[in-house]
Amino acid sequence: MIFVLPWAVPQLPTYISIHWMLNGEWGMLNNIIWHLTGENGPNWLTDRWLALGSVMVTHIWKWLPFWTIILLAGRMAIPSDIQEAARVDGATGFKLFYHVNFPLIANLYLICTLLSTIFSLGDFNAVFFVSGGGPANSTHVLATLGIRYAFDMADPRLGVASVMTALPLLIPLVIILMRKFRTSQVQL
Amino acid sequence: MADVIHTQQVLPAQAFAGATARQRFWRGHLQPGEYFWALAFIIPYVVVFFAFVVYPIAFGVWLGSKPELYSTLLDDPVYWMTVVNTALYLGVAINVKLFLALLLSGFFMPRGGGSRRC
Repeated sequence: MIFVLPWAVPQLPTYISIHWMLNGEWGMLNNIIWHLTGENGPNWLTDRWLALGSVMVTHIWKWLPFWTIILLAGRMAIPSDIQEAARVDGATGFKLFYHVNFPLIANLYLICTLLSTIFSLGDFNAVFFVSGGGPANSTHVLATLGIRYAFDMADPRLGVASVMTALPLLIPLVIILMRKFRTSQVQL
Repeated sequence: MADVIHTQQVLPAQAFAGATARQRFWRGHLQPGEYFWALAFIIPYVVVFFAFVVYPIAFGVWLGSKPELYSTLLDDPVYWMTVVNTALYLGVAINVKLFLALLLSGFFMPRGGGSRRC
């Protein structure tokens, strides 16, 4: 229940509060670091790689519960007699996972990866509200760059064009995803 | 079995015994009285589909159709940083996330695991 909370709370308030938590001078995170160690924490949002890493961690924090539940559902659909049979044959722990459980949900895992890639390719909120495109426009992703071109630089055509450059990646992903859906009817 | 399929196929053909091939193409297997309602039910969906799917996509493609835009884009160093960021974001964040999800889903599995097959 507590674990699902990051996914259940509204996106924007959490992203904005994470943005202020990461503030280098008086953000919560650096305050904690200062109280614990007496050192000044890093300036999370003023370094390109730290800012990008912060965005990634935020994204993971936000969407991990959702994909965990999807994979959990996939695992619970595996009939337990298969696992019992494997146990009788002497498979335990990692072997049971690697040779029995994982092959059965491998297709689901791949579909989840593809879906998540497609979702995240158009992800605007995490980047825009946590790093805001970051120090000197160095942490934009395609969605936020498109908005920057279209609205901040008043060139909607350039904005659309920049997002269009995601299509060569997006279209093959969608095609592969559709194929996977068609062939993943029966696994057992 | 073959009889059932046979009678089902014959019925519409009898209803349109006098119709030309062209009329059969447009009206399909509908009875003459059903034609109006078929149109009445399908038109709102077609209109919504064109207004909110076809038109926005076509407009977007038209907005981004000038080749000069792409050369402007390729000359912009911010664009290349963005491409690197997007690739990292997709390549690292998603794989880490799904791998953690896989591990955690094992952690949250109910004891005994799996569904019972009756």
